[in-house]
Parts: sequence; structure tokens; C-alpha cells
Amino acid sequence: MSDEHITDDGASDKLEAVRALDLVSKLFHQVNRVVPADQQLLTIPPEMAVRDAIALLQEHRFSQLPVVAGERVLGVFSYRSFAHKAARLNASDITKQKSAPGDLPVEDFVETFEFASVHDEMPKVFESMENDNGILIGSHDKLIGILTPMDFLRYLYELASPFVMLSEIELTLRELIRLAVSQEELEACAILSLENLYGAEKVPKTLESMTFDNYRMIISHGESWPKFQGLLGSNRTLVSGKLRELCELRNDVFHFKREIKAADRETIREYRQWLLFHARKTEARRGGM
Amino acid sequence: MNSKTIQNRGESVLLPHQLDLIDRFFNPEAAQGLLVRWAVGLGRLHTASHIIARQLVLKPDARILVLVPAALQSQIQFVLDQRGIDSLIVDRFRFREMQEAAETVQAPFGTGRAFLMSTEFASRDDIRASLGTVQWTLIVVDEAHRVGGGKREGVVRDLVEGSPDVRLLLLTIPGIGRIPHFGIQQWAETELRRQEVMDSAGRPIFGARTSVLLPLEYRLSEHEQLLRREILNAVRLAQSEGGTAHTLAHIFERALRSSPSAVEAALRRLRNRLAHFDTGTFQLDEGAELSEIATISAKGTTAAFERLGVCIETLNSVDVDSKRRAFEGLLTEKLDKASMPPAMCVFTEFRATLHYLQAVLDELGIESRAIHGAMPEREQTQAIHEFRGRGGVLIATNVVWSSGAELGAVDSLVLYDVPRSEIAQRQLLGRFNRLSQDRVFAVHALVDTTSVPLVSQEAVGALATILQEDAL
Repeated sequence: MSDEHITDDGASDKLEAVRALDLVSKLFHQVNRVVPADQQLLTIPPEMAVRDAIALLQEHRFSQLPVVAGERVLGVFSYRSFAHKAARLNASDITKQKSAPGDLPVEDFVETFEFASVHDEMPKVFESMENDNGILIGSHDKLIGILTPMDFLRYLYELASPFVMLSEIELTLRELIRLAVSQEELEACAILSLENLYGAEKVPKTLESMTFDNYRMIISHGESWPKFQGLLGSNRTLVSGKLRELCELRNDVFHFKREIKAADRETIREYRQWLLFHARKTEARRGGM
Repeated sequence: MNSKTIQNRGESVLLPHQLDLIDRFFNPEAAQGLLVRWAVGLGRLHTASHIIARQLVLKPDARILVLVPAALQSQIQFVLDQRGIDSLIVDRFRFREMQEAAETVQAPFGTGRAFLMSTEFASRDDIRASLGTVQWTLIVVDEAHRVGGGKREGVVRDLVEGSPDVRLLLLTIPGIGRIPHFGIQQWAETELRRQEVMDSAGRPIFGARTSVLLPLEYRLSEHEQLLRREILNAVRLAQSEGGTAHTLAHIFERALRSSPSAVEAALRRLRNRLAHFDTGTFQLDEGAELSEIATISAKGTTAAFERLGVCIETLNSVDVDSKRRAFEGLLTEKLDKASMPPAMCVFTEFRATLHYLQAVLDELGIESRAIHGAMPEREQTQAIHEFRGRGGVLIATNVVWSSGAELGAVDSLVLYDVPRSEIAQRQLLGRFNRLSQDRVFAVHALVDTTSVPLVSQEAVGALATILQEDAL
């Protein structure tokens, strides 16, 4: 029989092990992870005219461009490096060069940047970020990438935003449940939906002691549904399906089960919007803000 | 390594057709390129891993490139690992590490190992240039039918041009039209369907499969048809302001055919993207074809947001779902015959529909398992393992074929969404058609008889042809 598919548990464990080894470099948040995955390095030669280099900066919405001759990095051309050096030019310099500043080669306006390794820890590059507004990745003869403060911001936002949005979602859901049922009713709903799962004696009684999936089971239970119907939408199956997906995502994020991708963040953001809409609607009905 | 020796690793044995392929590849008279068209489940990748291993024995400093869909990379690495082949999955982060460790940034690909990467990644300008700086010994292209045309085909063509002695092994399934030859003149081709596979004693391994295709027709209510028109009008309004006109409508029509959940997810995504002026590509599911990816290029207007918002509200207030009703009817019928459906797999193209169907089954009190592409792989494997052991209902998205899951013991397959392409249909059906599978296999396809043109009916027609071919 072919083994191109997974056929037993032992095999799947080995598969996980192989994968884990391959992921070692991905587990730590080193500089390599912060440089955007889709970054395609754009460099310019030293003889390029400033006018053309600035046009490139504008076209790509970049702040700086590495200046490279052959394999060798000479420095970085940026709005800042240009402003610093152009400000020092006086009329006689310009007359002597017989060129407008835009016609001069970029090599006259480069500044030096520090280099970092892909394996460096994040704090190691903070100083360069602050002083130079960026850092080059690799070395003078091997330019691999460029890292800017905006890359850092995006990376940290992407890392943190699922946690923040999911906590908003979970807390909102709790509040909506509280608005829909009294404590007594909640306990009765919990027994209806969760008794099979926990046994009669161990059914959790407070929202804080319940899991997100418990919320889903309580809300979507046929007998409890009429109490929640107005709060999250009137189609039980649609609401239940959404809570199922949210629960999966929540567990993947909070239990670090897998890498959270851009599409996941987008989905979480959409669910956050869904709950925000219903929270606002409920607030308006109750005469709130 | 001697390919005449059957490799017995408990569950893995090289079958005669696999041994023949290895011998054929290493025959001194062999053509430079070999196109392997084998039906799903006949061990294309398994055999390719033996070829790679042998290549590395014959030429320890070989450079081997394996172009493979991203979803399959880890699994292929596992297969290569079993052969003792040193391999590396190359993505952007790995590539940077390789660049830093190499003598020059342009040529970080060493010898004596296999490099695995997706064709999409290999097509990026800098990666393509880097791949072109070295001489490759062997290039294996899995799912070669996905590489034809455009940048992807250009990558392989460039590599072949740059490495005149390279051997090319293309893997695909039968019944797929033209596969590019990437500039190679000497070609050989081998095609194998499951009925032609013999064991070492020369006996057919597969019996003729008994498959039954049972279209499950449903008709949308007036209300559903009206809502569908309203949604498409709202999308057209939005797309005229912020998207690629043709593609957005196309994407939504697919979602509309699937479930209210798929449509709602699509509407919410579109509304959020337009509201946040979030430009860039727009797609609804991980398995989207290139033609199913739109571009959001402008912020939407208040009118468009409002229309989309009204559609979402209306969708949530409608409790008639004719397609769901037809599906429930099927389940009831099956449940009448047994306390639980013995082993039923329900296929959908949308993750939102998968969760919707799970909720439907919850309401009916039927336990179900689910697998989709965003689940951790360990959980996917566990769900399949439990399903194989206990039966019941498994709801699955496209991942069911891309993950290589074996589902030979399934009695009935419900195509809640009929796969839209013939390739997808063949790959999906192949998962239910492994070695030793000789039971009657019922395929229920949900067909909307309201829509004009009858897209799903056409797809069902193609499905019938494939099942008929397999039964011959």
C-alpha cells in the first residue's frame, strides 16, 4: 500500500516530529520573523540620479533604499540622508557641480546603516531603529533584507491583535449572555446543555468557570435558544456555526496550536465586528450610548 | 538501493508498477523527462521518494528540487525522511537563513539533499533568480497540472534551460489535458488507472468499483431566489466601486450555491475590507483558484455598505434553506435504516459551510467530526483516525484531498458542494477509492435545479463520467 497518505497514529507522530524540527527556527521571535515574508529587496546602484531614486521611494512607498555596487553595500539612500547632505550644499557647491541636486548621484548622499543577523534577538536592533530608522540584514557583502520600525509595528500588531480581539469577543459574549438570562436561568440552561458533558454534579454555574464552547452549547441549545435569539441574530444555525468557528480559532490562538495567518486575523476581525454590532444594538435597545 | 527488492516496512511495499517506474527512470536509455499520470492512491509520491533516494545514492552531490503544493510539503518531507533523504522545506524565512549561511546570497542551494518548495514561492523573482544560479540534477514537480501557463511554467522552463543535464519527473493524474514539457525534447509518459494495477503475482489489485451517483435535487423558494438577487445586486454595487467586477460576482455565486453561512462570511469580509479601505486580494477560501481571487482597489461608498449590511441582516432573518432541507431529508432516510450513518463523508468547498453543517447535525442530534485546512494537522489526523474507527459523519473541505487522507472505508459521500473542476473531482473521488476498497460507494450530489445556467448539473455530469471510467 502506498504511504503517500497518513495511515496510522505512529506515522502521524513521526510526521509531527519532523515538522517540529523544521519549525525550530520559527519558534523564536528573532529578527528573521520580523522582516516581512513578502519583502523583495530593492537596491539601487551608486550612480543612480537622486531624482530617480526619490521617484523609486515614492513609487514603492519606501523610506530608504540600500545602495549596492556589485555585491558590496555602500550604504543607504533615504529622504533623511538626502536632506542632511543637501542642506549642507551651498550655492558655490552647486555651481561647481553644474548640476541640480536631483541630478547628482545617490552615492553623494548615502549614510551608513548597522547590520543585523537573521538570528539576532529583537532588542538588539532597537538602538539602530531609533538612531537610523532602520537596519540592514546580512553583511556588507551579503545583503539579505532591510528592517524598519514600521515592520516592527506591523509584526507586533499581528502577533498581539488576535489575543486582544478574542478577549473582546469573549468578554462581550459573556455580557450578552448576562443580559439575556438571570443567574438562575443560566444555571438551568447550563444543566440542559452541559449535563451530558460534565455530569449533573459538575456542571459549571458561572460564566467565568465555563469555556467558550460551553457558551456555544448553551446559546445554541434548542430549549435555551429563545432566550438568546434577539441578541445575536434570529437564525440559530447561523449563530451556532459562527460560535463554533470562533471557538476553534480561540483555542488555536490561546493554546498556541498553530501559526495564526492573515486570513485568521481577518476572520477574527469579522467576528469582532459581528459582536460589536450586536452589542451596540443591544445597548441602543436598552437606552444606552 | 536495488529497486528489485520489495521494501517491506510493515505498511509500505513497493508494488510492481512502482518498481517498474523506478527502473524505467534509471534506465540508461530513458528520456530526460518522464510524465507520470497515475490515478490518486497509486503511490506517485511514494515512488518518487524512492527515485530521489536512489538518485542521491548514485550521485551523492546531486541537487534535487521538489516543487509541491504548500499544503503537502510537510507530508512529503515525512515520506523523504522515511527513505533517509536529507530534505529542507524552503520558505522565505528558511531562505534567508540559507543565504546568511552560504558564501553568496544568490546561490544558497547546497548539494546532497532535496529542497522542497511551493511553485508559488519558486515563482517569486528573487527565488527564481537564485534557483537559476545552480545546476539541478533532478526536478520533481508534483501536481504538474497546476504548473501549466504563466510564471509557474516559466520557472521550470528556466531551470531546465539552465541545467541541460537535469532529469524532470512530472507527477499528475490521468484524464488531465495538456501538461507542459518545459522545453524538454525527449519525453516519456506513463499512465495508469486503478483497474490496471497488478500485484506481484499478476492479479488485479482493484476489482471494478461499484459506485452509484445519486443526484439530490432541490429548488430554491421564491424568497431565497429574491434574496439571492438582492445579494448579487449589492455585490455589483460594491464591486463597481471597489473591486474587480467579474471576479467578485463569480466568487459570490459560488458562496451563494453553498450555504447561508458561506454567503454571510463573504458579505462580512467584503464589507469590512471596503470599510477599512483594505486593498489587495480578496478570496473566500484557502483552495481558491487564481480566477477566484478578486482585487479590492478602492474604498466603498456608504450606499454599498448599507446594501451589504441589509443583505446580512436579511440573511440572518430567513430560516428557509432548501438545500439544507434536502440534505436533512437524506440524513433522515439514512437514519431510518440505521441508528447512525455507517460512514458518511460530507464535502463542502467553504469552511463557513462546514461549521454551518456541524450546527445542522448538532440540531439533529447527530455527532460529527470535521476537518478543514486551518485545523492543526494533528487534529486533522485524529479526526480522520476516529472517523475510520467509529464511522459516523465526517464533514470536510478541500483539505480532504490535499492532506492525502485515506478514506477507503466510506460508504457514502455527500457532495454538499460539487467540486467545480474535473481535476478537483478526480482528486476528491480518489481519496475514497484506495487499495482494497471494494464496497458499494454512493455519491450523493446536491443539485440546485433553480439556477440558470445549471452549473451544478454540469458538474454532476462530469462526475458521472469519472465514476463510469473507474467502474470499467
